[in-house]
Amino acid sequence: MEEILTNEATPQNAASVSVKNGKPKKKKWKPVHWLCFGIALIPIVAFFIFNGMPVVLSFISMFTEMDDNMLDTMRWNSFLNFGTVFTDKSFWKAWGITLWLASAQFVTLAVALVVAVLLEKKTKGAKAMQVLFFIPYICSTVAIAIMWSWIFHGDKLGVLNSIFGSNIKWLYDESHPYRLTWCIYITILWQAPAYGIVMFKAALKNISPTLYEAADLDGANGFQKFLYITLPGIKSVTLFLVLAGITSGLGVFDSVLVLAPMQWTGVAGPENAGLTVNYFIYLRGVSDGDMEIAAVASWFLFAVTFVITYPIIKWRNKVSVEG
Amino acid sequence: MEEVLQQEISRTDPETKAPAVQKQKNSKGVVIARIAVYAVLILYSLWILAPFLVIIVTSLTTNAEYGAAEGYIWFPKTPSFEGYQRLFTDDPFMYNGIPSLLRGFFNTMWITLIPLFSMLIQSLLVAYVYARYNFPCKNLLFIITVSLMFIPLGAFGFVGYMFYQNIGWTEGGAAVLPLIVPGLFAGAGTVFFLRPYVEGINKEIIEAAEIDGMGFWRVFFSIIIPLSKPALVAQFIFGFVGGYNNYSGALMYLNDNDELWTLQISLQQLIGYLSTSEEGDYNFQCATALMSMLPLIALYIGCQKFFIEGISFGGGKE
Repeated sequence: MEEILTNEATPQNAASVSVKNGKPKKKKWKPVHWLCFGIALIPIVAFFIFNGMPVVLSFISMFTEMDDNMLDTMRWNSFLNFGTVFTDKSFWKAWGITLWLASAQFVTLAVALVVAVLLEKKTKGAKAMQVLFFIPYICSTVAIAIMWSWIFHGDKLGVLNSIFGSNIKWLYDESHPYRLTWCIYITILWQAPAYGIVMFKAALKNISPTLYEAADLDGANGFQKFLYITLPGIKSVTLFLVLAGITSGLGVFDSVLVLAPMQWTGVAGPENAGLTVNYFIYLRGVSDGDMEIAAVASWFLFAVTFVITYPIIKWRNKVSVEG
Repeated sequence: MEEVLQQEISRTDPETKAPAVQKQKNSKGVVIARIAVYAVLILYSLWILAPFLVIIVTSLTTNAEYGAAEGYIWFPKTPSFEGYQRLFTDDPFMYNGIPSLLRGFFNTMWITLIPLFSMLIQSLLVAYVYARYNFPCKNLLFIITVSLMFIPLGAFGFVGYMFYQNIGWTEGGAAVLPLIVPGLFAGAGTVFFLRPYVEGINKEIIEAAEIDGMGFWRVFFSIIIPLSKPALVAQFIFGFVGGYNNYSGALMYLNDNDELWTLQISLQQLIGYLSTSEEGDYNFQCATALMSMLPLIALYIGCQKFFIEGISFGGGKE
C-alpha cells in the first residue's frame, strides 16, 4: 500500500514543486483555491460519515449490549459477545462452508484464463463468443440462482433428474446435506469467470505481439511462450483478480439466500449446510436484531480477509512498480 | 542434478529440431490444436447458454402440460405465453394494477440512477480539481483519498444497519435513504480512476477557455464534462450493473416495505411465493426470472462495446 501511495504521490510532488519554483515561495491562496480545497474534501468527509461512522459504531458495539440496537441503551458487557460468537458451532461451520465456496474462485481464475487465451488465438467467432461469455456478469446473482434452482429441482420434473432419470433432492436432502454446497459451487462457477475472461482478454491484448515474434525466431514452443511472455504480462491483472475473488468469495451471500432459504426449523439448508459467514451475520444482525453479535462476526471476517489479502496487495504493488 | 539435465534439454531442444521437420509437424499439430480450441470454446458456450435455454423452454410450457408430465419437458407441445401474461394478471403483490416486477424495475431505476449521476459528476469535479489546480494541503488530501480506496469494507455491509437505525433511516419511507444518500457523494475509487483521464485533456483548450473569460464552473461544465464522456460512460456502466443487481443492500432496508421493493427483491419475493404453489407455476417462475434479466441483457447486447470496455477499463485501472 505504501509503495502505491508514494508511487502515486511522486508525480504530484514533482508537479507542485515545479509550480512552486515558478512562483514566489509563499503563496497567497485565492478563493478559487479554497473552493478546490472544499471540493477535494467531499469524498473524504462523505467516507467518514457513511463508512467510517458505521464501522466505528460496530467496533464499539462489540463490547456492549444494547436493547434493539439503540445506542442510548448501550452498556458494557465484558467481552460476552466474543464468547457467544466464538463458541457458536454454527459460526465455525459457516466458516468451513464459506472457505469451501471461496475455493471456487481459484477454479474460476483458471477457467477464465484458459477461455481468454483460447479466445485470443485468432479464433473465428471469438467476438460473438466473448459477448456471450460476459452475459453471466450482468445477470443478477438472484436470477442466476433461480435459474439453477430449476435445473436442480428436487423431483422428477427437474432438469438434472430428467437427464439422469433420477429422483435426487439436489438442494435439500437430509441424508446428503453437503450436496447443496456443490450446487452452490456450480452456480458460482457459472457466473464468476465472466469478469475474469474480460479482464484477462484486455491484459492479453496489451502484450506486444513483437515479443511473440521474437520468441518464434528463437524457436520457443507454445508452452515456453506462455510461461515467459504471457504469464508475466498478465501478472498484475491476475493478482487483482485474486484479490477481488477472495473478497467476493468470502462474502458469498446472494446465491445461498436463494438456494438455501431459511427453513421454518431455523436452518439454512439441510443441517445448516447453506449457512455462510455473511448469511450468519445477516441472520444474527438484521433478522434477529443482535448487531453486537453481527459486529463481532463482521470484524472477524474483516480480519481474516485482511490477513489473507495483505501479502497479495504488497506483492501486487511490487509488480506494478516493476512494470 | 535433475535441474541441470532439464536445462540441458531445454537448451538443446530448439536446435535438434530441423526446420523442415518442424514445419511438417506444425501443420498437423496446428489442425489438431485448432480443433481442440474450438471444442473447448463451443463446450463453454453451451455451458453458458444451457441454463437460459432451459428456462426459456419452461417459460413457454403451460401449467396443464406439466400437470401430466413425467419429467422435464424439452419441447412443449403447445407453446404459450401464459407465464408472461400471468406476470401482469396473477401477481400476488400487485398494487394499483402495477405488477410488482415492473414496480421493482422503476424503483431500481431511480434508486440507482439518482446517486450514480450525482456521484459521477462530483467525482469528476474532484478529479478536475486535482488535475488542474494547486490548493492547500493538496498532497495530503490526495494521499488520504487514495488510502480510503484501499480499505476493504466488504465485511461491514450488514453492520452499517445499526448506524442508520439509530438515525431513524430504517423506518417507513426513510428506509430508502441508506441506499441513496451515501452514494450521492464523490467516491475515492472513481476520483482515482478519473484523475489521469482529466489530466490527459489538452491543457491548451482549458487555458484558451480561461483567457476567453470562462470561470471555474463554466470550464467544468462546458469543457471537462463533454471531453470526459468515455471515462464517465465506463464508470456509469460499472455502477449501473452493480446497482441493478444489488440485492443484499435492498434486502436489509426495503424488504418489509413492498412499495419500495427493488427489482431483485420483487423477483426473490415472487419466486418465494410461487415455489409454494400447488400447480408448480414453473412457466410463471421462469418468465419472472427471464423478465428480470431481460432489460440489462438487452441493453448489454445493444451497447456491448461500451460494456466490455467499461468493465475492463474501470476494473483494470484500479
